[in-house]
Amino acid sequence: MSGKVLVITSGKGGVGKTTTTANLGTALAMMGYKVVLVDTDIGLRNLDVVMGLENRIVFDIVDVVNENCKLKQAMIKDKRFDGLYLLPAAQTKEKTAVSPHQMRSLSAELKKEFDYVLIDCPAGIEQGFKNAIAGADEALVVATPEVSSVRDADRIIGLLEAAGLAISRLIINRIRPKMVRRGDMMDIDDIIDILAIKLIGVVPEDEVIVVSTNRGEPAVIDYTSKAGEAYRRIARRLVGEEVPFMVLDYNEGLFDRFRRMLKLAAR
Amino acid sequence: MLCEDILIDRSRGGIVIRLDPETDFHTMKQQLKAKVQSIDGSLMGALVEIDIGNKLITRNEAREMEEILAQNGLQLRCIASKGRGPAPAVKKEMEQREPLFRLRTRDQEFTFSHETVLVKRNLRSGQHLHHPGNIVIMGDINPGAEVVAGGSILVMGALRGMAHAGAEGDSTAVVAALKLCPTQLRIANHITRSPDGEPIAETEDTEIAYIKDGKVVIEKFKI
Amino acid sequence: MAFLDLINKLLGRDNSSKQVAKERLRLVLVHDRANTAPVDFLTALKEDLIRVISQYMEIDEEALEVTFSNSDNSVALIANIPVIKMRRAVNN
Repeated sequence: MSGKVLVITSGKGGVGKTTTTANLGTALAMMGYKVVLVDTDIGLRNLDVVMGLENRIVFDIVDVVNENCKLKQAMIKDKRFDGLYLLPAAQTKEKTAVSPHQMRSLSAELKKEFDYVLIDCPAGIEQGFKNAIAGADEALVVATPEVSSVRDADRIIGLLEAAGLAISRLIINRIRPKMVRRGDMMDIDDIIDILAIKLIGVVPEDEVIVVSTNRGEPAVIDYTSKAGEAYRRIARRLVGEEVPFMVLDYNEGLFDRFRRMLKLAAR
Repeated sequence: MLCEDILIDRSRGGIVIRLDPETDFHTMKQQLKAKVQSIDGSLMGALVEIDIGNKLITRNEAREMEEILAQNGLQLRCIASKGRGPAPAVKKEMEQREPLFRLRTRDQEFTFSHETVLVKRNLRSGQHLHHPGNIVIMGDINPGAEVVAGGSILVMGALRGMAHAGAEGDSTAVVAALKLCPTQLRIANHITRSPDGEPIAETEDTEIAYIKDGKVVIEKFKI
Repeated sequence: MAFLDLINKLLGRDNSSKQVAKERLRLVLVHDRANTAPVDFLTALKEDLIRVISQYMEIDEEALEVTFSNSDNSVALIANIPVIKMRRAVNN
């Protein structure tokens, strides 16, 4: 078996890479695929807490590449889904503790065992980023509809192209339909137009994400969550299904309707 | 930044600090303080050899130096003096002294010997402290921080990170804290974690973890 | 002024913050992409310009300058090309 290695990256911090990794990984595992999540944010690990697995860590990715332990010993089995594993980052080391070369052989090793290897990339474009993309087959670029995030995403896409990563797809995270309608947030078309990259999904801003992160349970297991629904759809697109994009529409208020009428009349 | 006169002795796993033997003891102490403070946190708990050339110092002066090290989370291995110094005697006495303190549970008593470093600070995420003897921490261990001791660990604060006592296999080692709620707790080759589901209700009690009949048990204790 | 803003907003005129964001991004990305291009983008452009212009006139290649210039809401490519002399029109 040879799986796919996907790196989840963004350039800018705080746009939802780790949340995206946790949710897509869980969604793929829910569909019955064998998945491993790899946290490459050495020194600032977080994927373990988002997954609620922080108290199970004994060995980490640095132990694996230094051969202090076997790969199997370092992988933590998820508490909810069979076939879902986490390879945690080291917290007390630095990014240079792992080299791109080591990441390539680690990815190759994991690919033999798993259908999907999801690599959570640290923010920035330094060593951590270079490590994370080293063994990847494809990239998922996460951006929020903000100037700073889109600018950094553009830089990252350029670097991914230069590194020879054939396929990069975009996830627009934390979109707020109300603000988009008001004209105070860039919409999907604006961002695609600027970045010229294929879109794989749009995730709406959702309070459930905060609650689920508090609990250490990815939002995809909550069927009432809009963000969870969006992530499940992205996971299905990842495996090749054709899935329509979610209709991101809130109920229009009276004022919105009034403004829209005025807008139409002005044309 | 490390000063020039501080050598990291990798072969023996410690630090050698050289002090100028031509000065009086007061200046020497100032030198030692400055040097020790230049050592970064990653060396905390390390064993230190102080090289004082052919200077002679008294037992009390040696103790003062030990105290300076302890305040900065370092442990004295020895004071090397080419003169007929009291260093070996100090070392011998250290070993023979009464235990530093005792921790008592309902039916057990655990002692902390003088192979103990005292660390007066909080350990935050990503910081780690390793020491072959016992460790006493006057502060909190936050989630993501690690304390690894060859002997026992006492946290005079909240233990929320990872603590490993008896890291070289000593299963009589203990982990005690004023507030014991670690992410993970290890004693010798035992690894325990809090159960999944609801977080454990926080108690006001000081608690101690040790191995009893091959299992890690947690009890209240008094100092 | 605030009233005018409100009217504009009601009429959906494009002074919305989204338009501002798009415009600013467009400008900043011109610079970013030029500065991070794998080969030195401006040098390559310079060489191409020299090659083309030399067919029509003799120019001072050393003094040729190509830079970006920002005005309020646009980026311009400014080329300063000192001409030494015109070539005689060549009839094939």
